Amino acid sequence: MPRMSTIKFCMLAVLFLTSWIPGVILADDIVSIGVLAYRGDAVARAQWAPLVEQLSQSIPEFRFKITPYDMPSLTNAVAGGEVDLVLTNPGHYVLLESKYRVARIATIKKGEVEGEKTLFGAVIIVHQSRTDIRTLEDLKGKSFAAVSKRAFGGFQMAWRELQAEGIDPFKDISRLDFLGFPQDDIVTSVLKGISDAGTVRTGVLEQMASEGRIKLEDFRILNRQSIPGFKSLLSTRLYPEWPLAKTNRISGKLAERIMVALLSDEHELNNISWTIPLDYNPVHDLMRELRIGPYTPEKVSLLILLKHYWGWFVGSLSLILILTLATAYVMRSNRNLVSTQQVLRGEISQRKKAQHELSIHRDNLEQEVSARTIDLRNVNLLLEQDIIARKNAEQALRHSDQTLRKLHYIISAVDTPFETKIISLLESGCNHFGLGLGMLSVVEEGGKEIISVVSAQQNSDTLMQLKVGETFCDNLLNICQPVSIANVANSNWHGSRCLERIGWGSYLGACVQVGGERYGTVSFVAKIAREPEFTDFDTDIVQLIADWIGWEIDRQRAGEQSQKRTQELAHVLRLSTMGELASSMAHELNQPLTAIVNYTRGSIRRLNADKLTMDELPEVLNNTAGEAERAAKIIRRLKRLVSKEEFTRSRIAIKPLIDRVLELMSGEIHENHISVLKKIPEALLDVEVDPIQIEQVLINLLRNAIDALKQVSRDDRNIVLASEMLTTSKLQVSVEDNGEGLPDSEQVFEPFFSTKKEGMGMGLSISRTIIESHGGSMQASMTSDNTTKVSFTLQAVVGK
Amino acid sequence: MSESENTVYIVDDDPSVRHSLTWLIESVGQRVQTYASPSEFLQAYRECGSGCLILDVRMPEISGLDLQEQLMAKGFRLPIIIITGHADVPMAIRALKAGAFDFIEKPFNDQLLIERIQRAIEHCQNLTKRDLRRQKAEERLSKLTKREKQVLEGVVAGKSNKRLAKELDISIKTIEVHRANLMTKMQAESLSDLIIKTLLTDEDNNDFQ
Repeated sequence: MPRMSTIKFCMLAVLFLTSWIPGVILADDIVSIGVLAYRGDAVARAQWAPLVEQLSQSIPEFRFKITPYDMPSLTNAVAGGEVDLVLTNPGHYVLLESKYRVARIATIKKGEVEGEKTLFGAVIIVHQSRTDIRTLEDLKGKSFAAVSKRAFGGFQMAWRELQAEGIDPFKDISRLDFLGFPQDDIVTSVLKGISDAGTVRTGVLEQMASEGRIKLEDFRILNRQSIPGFKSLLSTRLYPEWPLAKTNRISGKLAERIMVALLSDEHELNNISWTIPLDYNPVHDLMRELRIGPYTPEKVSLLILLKHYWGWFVGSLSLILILTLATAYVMRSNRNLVSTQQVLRGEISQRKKAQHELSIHRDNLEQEVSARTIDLRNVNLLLEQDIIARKNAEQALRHSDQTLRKLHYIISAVDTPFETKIISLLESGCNHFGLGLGMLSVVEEGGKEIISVVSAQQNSDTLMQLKVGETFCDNLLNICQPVSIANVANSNWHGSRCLERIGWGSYLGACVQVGGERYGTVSFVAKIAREPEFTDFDTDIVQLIADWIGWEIDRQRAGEQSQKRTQELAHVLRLSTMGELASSMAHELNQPLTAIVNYTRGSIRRLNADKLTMDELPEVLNNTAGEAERAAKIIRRLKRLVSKEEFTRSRIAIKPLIDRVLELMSGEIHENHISVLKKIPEALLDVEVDPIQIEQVLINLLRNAIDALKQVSRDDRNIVLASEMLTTSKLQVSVEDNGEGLPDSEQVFEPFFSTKKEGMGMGLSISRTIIESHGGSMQASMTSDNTTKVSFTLQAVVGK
Repeated sequence: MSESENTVYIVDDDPSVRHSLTWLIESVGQRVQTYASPSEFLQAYRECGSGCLILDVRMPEISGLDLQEQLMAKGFRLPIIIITGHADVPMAIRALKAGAFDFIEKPFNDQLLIERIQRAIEHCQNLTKRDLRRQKAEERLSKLTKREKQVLEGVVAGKSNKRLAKELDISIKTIEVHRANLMTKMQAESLSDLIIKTLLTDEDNNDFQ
């Protein structure tokens, strides 16, 4: 029955398309974290074990594993796609970022001192007694100790400062002592006078001093830097701490969850906690200046020549090949001609023989024709029977087709609640199978009791509260394949307690699984035996109904989980937005504060000088109070944004929300000389949303637009903020700008993608997640006149 | 606007900051004039008298720093105090390099601000006095004859009468007469006074070159 299987396939396809199937995550999926082990494998494993534990607890579906590497092998591991996450020093990270497109998802905070947790530098030391070395310049012709040429904090930072002073460490320094790890050896070497000077990362000196191994007074710090808030001794610029980065082997969604897990865990493990990914541009600058890492100038080699001129190579090679082939072809054709001549001669003699044989056959032919005619008559008879059978089959197919359409119609209805859909499915099942009763039995987890029965007919009371063992469910659950029994009396189940006791004559059922675990059964029964037998198609249909119910329940469960995740993400976004808003808010807050100070101090001065009249006083006091209220209002706006509120949806109008966001951003908009055109008609329907999250999304879109406009001349920076009804139930909000465009309108929604050097790359990705959790969608597009438009839709609420 | 009086000019787009600053500064008896935007200031302000200018950095049309640079390029004479709500080091460096008198962060200590304003006004008055002296010295210098100017140059360069006589090929007596005339015309009380007055005009010349 070839057509039957096509239909089966179509039916499966329809159901798969209408059902959303969550990806099945296997419990033994391994996430491999490659770490740079600068103090040996054992130390690295011990050091990062708490990280693995933390991640495994937060994301139990995955197993996290630490693999220690040295620098070259870690590079190879990333290139070969052996690791999912990389934890390495900033210098090495920058190299991996530009070569293999790894993207940072968090930055380490370590150490004791607040303000020094996410940044570090290096310190250049000499012994206090060396009065001849007071500046970097004095290091010319002296010996210098460091970790290695590739060490970021242990050499390259100091190298950059030396180079800035015009000193090339590889020429101007008399001897470079690369002592490797631990860095304590470098300090000891300088203390003992083995090396004239040396460099270590910040904090090492203080650590050794606190352990009583050295005295800080014994050392002089060269090129001493003082940066407000940074207390350790420092000779170089500051750089961001180690990042945790994702390779392209790992999905954006999982990376997001890892980030949230790291950021939301507040207690420190081994003095280490995490913050949002920092800006690694200072590291890029260093590499660029020193022409190392990704900025190492390329050497010309045969391979590179080949890479550049491969077209020419391939061209000339193929020309030679073609010529050779042509010569060979001509020679072969010649040979072929000679041999063909010989063959032809042979054939002519054979032809003559054949002619002779043909004349003999002609005589036998007539007899054969009469025999054939009889055969044909028999075949004709068989064909007629076949046609009748086919007609029956076609009718069955038409019937099935109708049922399938009906099922599809029920499943794909948008507004019908789940329970109603189930009742409708059971009803159509009853109709199709010609059986009187349809039910969905749910088996309690662990136990064996049917806890609820949904029936397509009313008289199902007798079925309530049955023990699983007393029904057919138990057998079905054990087999986990559809079972069809047209006539119980004729089947193996004849006399079985579970079927006979209730008095079923025919039975058709399938097992419902949710997320790979048994959930219950769907079954159709009748008191009398069924004629004809159930077909394969019938069992397929009952299995499909069972599968759909399983998928739908699974989807609902997954939806609840993803909503929780969206909330966590939104909070992270809010926090990062907060940081960016903080500076513009600080300025706004300073205005009323300044005014308050001026009013009060001015009044005190007047009082002291006896110049304050009673007439003036109320006005000044009023002004002062007014300014205090203005400050309070600013703080309230900010507070609303940071609070980790529950997901609360309420019905609101979009216009006041947009106005609130514009007010919040007014400082930034003014400062950047941007003109905003609002196109918001009065006649817009309300939406049911979480206002803070939607504000968040809008802030995000506006900030992106502002950043893009910074590349454009001041007189031509425009943002159009529009809202309109797309359909009667769909409202659209869009932000357009004429700034620097987008590279790819889909890629921008990928997590950790950013066009901004200092961007975290999470904004649009989280925004889209928020909008999707509200049942809307978000798109980005570029129009021909170089306008970038990012828009999102929301479900409108119809009626009062 | 009388010429002798000192005025504090304020340019800030925030009305409450403008109003409260006026309240504070007037409490020490200082005249205040406020402007809501750089363009309003440029239109209304006519250069006369002394005082100082207080500029906010963050303003919608052009920033305080840009206005400062524009004014300096035009030879604006009043000392400029920059105030800002969110200062950073590069901003302060830019302002001071461009010749700002001071750079103060909001919200400020009233004592500090008033002290700074007074210091700026004093600075402005000193500049004005020096300008006057220079003007006078220049006038007097222009009345000298060519020969007298030559002798003056020699005297300022520290040359003796004898040497000057030799160089200019005239008698020592004549030199002495020229010197006496010089002192009278320049209204110098002593040799050092003469040198100071001459250098005052010299410096001026350098400024114009």
